[in-house]
Parts: sequence; C-alpha cells; structure tokens
Amino acid sequence: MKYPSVVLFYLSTVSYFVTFVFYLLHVVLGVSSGKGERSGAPGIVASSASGGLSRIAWGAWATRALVMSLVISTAGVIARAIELGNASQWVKAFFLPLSTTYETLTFFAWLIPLIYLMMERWFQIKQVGVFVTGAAFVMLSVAASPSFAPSAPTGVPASLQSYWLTIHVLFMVLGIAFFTSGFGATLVYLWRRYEKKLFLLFGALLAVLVTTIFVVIPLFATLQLEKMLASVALFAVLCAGFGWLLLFVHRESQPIAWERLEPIEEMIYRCNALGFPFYAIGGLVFGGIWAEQAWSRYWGWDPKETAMLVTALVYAVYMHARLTWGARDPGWRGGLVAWLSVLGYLAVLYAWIGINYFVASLHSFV
Amino acid sequence: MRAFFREIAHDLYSFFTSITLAIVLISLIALLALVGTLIPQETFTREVDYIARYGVEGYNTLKKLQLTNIFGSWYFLFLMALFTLNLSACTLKRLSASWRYWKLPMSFIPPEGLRRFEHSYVLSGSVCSDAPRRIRALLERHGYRVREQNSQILAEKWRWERFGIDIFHISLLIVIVGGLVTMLFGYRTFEIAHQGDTINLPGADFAVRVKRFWSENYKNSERVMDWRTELTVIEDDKEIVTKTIEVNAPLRYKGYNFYQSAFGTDWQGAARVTLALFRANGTEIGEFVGTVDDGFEVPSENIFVKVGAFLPDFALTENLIAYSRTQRLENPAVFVEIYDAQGLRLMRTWAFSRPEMQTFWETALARVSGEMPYRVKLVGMTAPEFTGLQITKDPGRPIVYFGFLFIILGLLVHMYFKHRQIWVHVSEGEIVISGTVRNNLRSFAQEFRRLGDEIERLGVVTHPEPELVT
Repeated sequence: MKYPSVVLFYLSTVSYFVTFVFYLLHVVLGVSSGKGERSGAPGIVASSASGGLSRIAWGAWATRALVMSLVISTAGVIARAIELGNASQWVKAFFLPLSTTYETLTFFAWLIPLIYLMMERWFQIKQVGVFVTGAAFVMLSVAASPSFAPSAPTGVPASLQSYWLTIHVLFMVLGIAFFTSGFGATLVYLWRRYEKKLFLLFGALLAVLVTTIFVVIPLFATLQLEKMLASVALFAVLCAGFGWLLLFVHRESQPIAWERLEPIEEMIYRCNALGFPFYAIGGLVFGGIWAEQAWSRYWGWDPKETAMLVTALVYAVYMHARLTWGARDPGWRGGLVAWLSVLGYLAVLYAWIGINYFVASLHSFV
Repeated sequence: MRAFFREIAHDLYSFFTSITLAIVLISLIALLALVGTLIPQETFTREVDYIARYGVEGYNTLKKLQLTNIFGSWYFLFLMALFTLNLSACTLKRLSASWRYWKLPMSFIPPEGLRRFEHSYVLSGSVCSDAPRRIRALLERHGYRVREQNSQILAEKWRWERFGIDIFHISLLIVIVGGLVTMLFGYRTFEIAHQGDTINLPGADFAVRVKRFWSENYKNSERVMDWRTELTVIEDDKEIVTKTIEVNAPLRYKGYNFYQSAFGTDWQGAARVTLALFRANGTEIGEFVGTVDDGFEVPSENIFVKVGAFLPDFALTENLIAYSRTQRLENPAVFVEIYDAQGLRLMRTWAFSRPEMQTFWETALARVSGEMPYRVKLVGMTAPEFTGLQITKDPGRPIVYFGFLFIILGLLVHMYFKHRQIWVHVSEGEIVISGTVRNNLRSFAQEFRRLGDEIERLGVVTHPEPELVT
C-alpha cells in the first residue's frame, strides 16, 4: 500500500464493524451496564433463555471497542493530513484533510463517533451507539470503494486553499456529528414511544418520501399547470396523511411512560441544540466569510448553501416547536417534535450528500 | 372606535409575536428554498440551458411562476418581509421579558416551597453554626454569586446569559440590514481582462491595470495549483499599489474588492479564426483570418466577410437557438455573414471545424434556403487568454461582520450557558437545598446531586449518636 492512511482506514472499518456488533448485542441482549439507564425503568429486558451471553456486559465492551476504533481512525486522519500536505506541496497550512469525498467521508467516520462517545459518557444511553457506529461503518465502506471515492491524495484545488476550509468544514462536520448522535437518540426515543407501531410510522414516512421523489417531483417537472397543481395538492395530502396517522397512533397509544422517555428526549434536545451553533455558525457565518473571499459574495443561493439553510431552518423549527409545544405534550404536536428531529436529519443527509447528485453547484468537490 | 383600533392593534401584535407564526414562516421559507435547490436558478444558469432542459414552454411556465428566480420572487420576498416583521416583533417581546427577568431578583422562598422543587435535597441533623459561611464559600468556589436573605443563601450563576438569545435574534436582523445595504448601495460587475487592460469603475477615482496573469500547476502534474493576476491601482496617473491576487486572496482598495474569479481562453469574446472560402462550384478562393465582431475583405470577389459569434461547443436548443454547451473546444463553430460591395447580404451560415457537422449543416441549409454562392469552412482558431475579475463594492460589509460576530456570541451564550439558581435554607435541624436551571434540564440533576454531595461532605450537619437501647 502506497498510503498508510488507507491501511489505517481499512483497519478502522473492521473495527467499527466489530463495535457495531457489540452495540447491537447490547441492545438485543439488553444487559444494562450497572450504571446504565438513569431512569431506572426496565430497558429492553432479555429473556433468561439467552443465559451466558447476556451475562457479558456488552455495553461496556462496545464502548471499549469504540475507543479502540477511534484510536485507529485518529491515526488514519493524522496520516492523511500529512499525505495531503505532501501532495499539495504544503502550499498553505492545511490542518485537516478535507479536499475530496474520500477525505471527508473518512473524516466524518472519525468525528461522528468521537462526538457520540462524549454524549454517551454524558447521558449513559448506549442504544444510540448502534446507529452511530453503523453509520461510521457505512461511511468507511463507501470510502473504501475506489470507484466512488478514489483514495490517492491530489493537490488541493485553488478555491479550497484557505484556512477557512479547516474552520468552515470542521464546524459543519461537528454540527453534523452532533445531529447524528441526536438522530440516533431520536430513533431510540421513537422506538420506546411507539414500539411496534414505529414500523407503521416509518413505513408511512418512507411511502411519503418515495411518493414525493417518484411521483410529486416528476409530476411537477412536467411543468403543465394542472399537473403542477395536482402535484402540490398531492404533496399537501401526503403531509396531512402522515399528520393524521400520527394523530391516530397517539390517540390509540397507551399512557406514556415519561420516566422512560424523558432522559432520551433530553439527549435528543441536547445533541441537536449543541449541534445547531456549530452547523449554523459554520455554514452561515464562516461559510459566508469564506464565500466572500473566494467568490465575492456572502450568500448566493448556491444549491448547497441553500440546502444547508434549509437544514438549519428545520432544526430552528424543531427548537422553537419544542419550546412552545413542549416535549411532554402527549398530543400529536408533542409527538411531532421528535419527528421534526427526524426531518432535520433527512435535511442534513440531503444537504450533505443528496444535493451533490441533483444539481451542479459551486460546492461540487465535496 | 378607538377601542376597535386598539383591539385590532392588539390582535396584530399577538399575531406577529406568536412563535407559531415563526414556525409556519420558517417552514414555508425552508420549503421554497428546497424547491430552489431542485430547479437551477437563473443567477447561475443560462437561458439556453433552461430551454435545453425544460423546453421553451416549460421554461416559460417556470418564468411565469418565477421559479427560475425563486429567491427574488414576490412570494418569497413577501415571506421574508413577514418573517423579518415577525422576528422583530418577537425579539422586542422577548427582550422586554428578558429585561424584566434580569431586574427580578432572587428572593426568599420558604422551605416548604423549596421542597417542592424538582431538584431538591434535604440534609437533616444538627447544623453547626458556621454552616452558612462554609456553604457560601463552597458555592462561590463553584462560580456562584451569593447573597443572603433571612438566613437563606441565594446563589446564582450566569444570569446574563438570558440575553444570549436576544443578541442572536437581533444580530440576525443586523445581518439582514447589512445585506440590504449591500443590495441597495453596493455594486458588482464581472470583467474579462487581457494583459495590459485598464479597468475603470463608475464612481471610483482610480483605475486598475492588469499587469499580467498566469496559472501555476502542481509539480509534475496537470492539476492547476492557482490562478494569479497582478493588479496595479492607478490614481492621478500614479501607481499606488500593486498586488497579485489569487483565488481566496482579493485586492481591497477604497471599499472596492477585486477577486480572481475566472481564467481561460476567451473564445466567445475574442476568437481569431481562419476561414477557408470556396465558390459554389467548389473552387477555393483562399484562407483568410478574422476576429469575432470584425471581418475581412476578399478583393478578388469584391465581398466583405463578417465574423459573428464564435461558439467553442456548438449546440442547438429545441427552438433552434444556437448556444455553446461548454467553454471547451468540443465542437467549434463560427457564424459568418457575406456582404457584397453595396452592403447587401448575400448569405449567412455557420462554419464548423468538425467535417461531419459541416456536411450536416450545409445539407440542411441547402434544403431550406437553396444553393449558396459561397462555402465557408473553419480551419483554424486561436484566442487570447483572459483573466476574469469579479469586482464589487460592498458598503454593508462592516454591518454584516458586526452581525456575524454577535450571531456567534449570542448563539454560543444561549446554547452553552444556562442560568442556574440555588437556594439553601439553613435552619436548626436541617438544610434544604433546591435549584433550578433555564429550560429545566434534567441533566442538571447530576450536577445538582454532586453539589449536594459536596455540601454534605462539608460536615456541617452532624447526626446525633443513636441512643443505645438496652
């Protein structure tokens, strides 16, 4: 192998997979690791049939494996920074390797679990780790496919030769890292709140998304007035339908066990609220300052910029909604707050990955 | 009547200060912005690309609905105006609430009340006399501001953070104002310059000369490392400053900014083409050289050949408008008009350098307009390199930066500092400790319990020896 970082990232891919399996076992076998759930309410209690396996503290092992994976990927990121510096002849001080898809993916797979580890130590809710380490594993696997993300370092393009690259992208990634932990927590929250009905709700959400992408947008794109109106109406009906389903599920629900939900709800809120300043400042302020230096304007409605704004706005709505409607509102609006967190993360995914496949953008290098 | 107006004013006030309105407006703005990411906007898309993508009718529909310029459309601006109003009203309302809160001191709460707090902790036993002093010292070590009222210790931390969110909201408004100032009084233009060109700017008492420009590659590589242009500011015929600008490093002078923004070969603006001319019977007249927007005479035929547009990558839209798909020499074509001595146009045509395009075009043209007196082929082309400079005047810049600074401050303060208050009621038989935090965070429980433990470890409460029962 020509580049040590590539080897290290391969190793960390394996390591994250092992970590993911540990977290999965922790959730499935449901051993709370002593200090585990602060709420004291029964978590997902394993049946005694699983015997020996469930006596192992999978949660503790998962955390250890996570620390191990983080050590490897930290080494990988450092190695990568040096390789990129060499390839760019050290034209400017580059602190972080963030100039290609490969580099951003591997960087994400380092920072997202790192932030999660912090949040895990804070809130002691380990079920969230399944999503986060799973995501890190997927990112590294995608980066490992050479056709998608070639791993050889190339010189940094002129537009990226600025220390704002480090500041802007680091803040964005930190924001996304917190949001990822928040989304993992949202999944756990939703599962605890809806249990099996969650499949129904996720199915409905998926149906809404698929219909939007494959029916609403193409119908709108015919650009014939009646069909456009029909597509807007269809979209409104889809949203209303999902709202109605939520209302229905909430009406049907058993009394809510708040003491089980509140710690995880607070984890969602804290992750999202901690991520928001990074995301908004990194995108709107630092992105703006850099865009002014490189492209002569703070804000130009470039698709990626706009998608970032949409994401920030969705999280702003989430925070205002939580503030006004309250997290303990047992009605549909209270439930909607958690779903806004889901919507926010969908927007993150769109702004971060999805948009690159839709439109040509000034941001096309990432 | 006055009551009626007062009622209306009141209704308007509560309408504009409602957070529900904010949520609805932000959602709508987000939805429209999302649409704006899916449809390419006209600021960075050419008309011909729209037509190539959506067809003429589709493009007209998009334009009628202002979807090609959604961020300048009346409905988006209307939403933004409404949002700005809403934000201003909410900020005002919140600010006065913060102010009232700021002025409201912590006050004595009877111990029965303290026990009902979500975070509360009771130590019972005999309390030693210097307990208040030592608890005060402990709280002060933790950064609390402490005072005493009726034998109750009132401690709090970070009261000022209540203004963080107001600062953030006000800064958003400041940035909007800065943007408006730049939009209304600013100025921006894009200039294509060749070596030695002097750029004069309206309203500026100086000119800028392009001394030279070049690009650098990475060593042993085709990858461009940077584009640079050496600019000299000339004021009253004197050279004032010379600076080499590059991407990410503009020249700033007297409120004007010069950015390295493009670089390349100026095909469309200044191509120099070599054309081979043939008579209709196929005999060659010769090869001639002309530049775009100019032409040459052919004395032997007594004609003038005018060179029109040059397209490096010729393509046609659905309604047969010619445009250049890219700026690379993929399918070069030049528009040629031929006039006789009296200035009457004899013919016009496109000349191509790709033979199959030439044949295709000539066949198509012959079918439509019949036999042409001459045939023109494009046999050679060159064009000068150019440097593209984005030039702006940005009077809103200080306002925007000021707003940015306080956005950061406000947001950080609001998200990372939460106002805490602790009451410690010391009486003879017990100490009651209660606390609150903004947003009533449950995770405060841990911190609160640690604080309680520390107070307990001070040893100011002693338990009486249990009496031995014999």
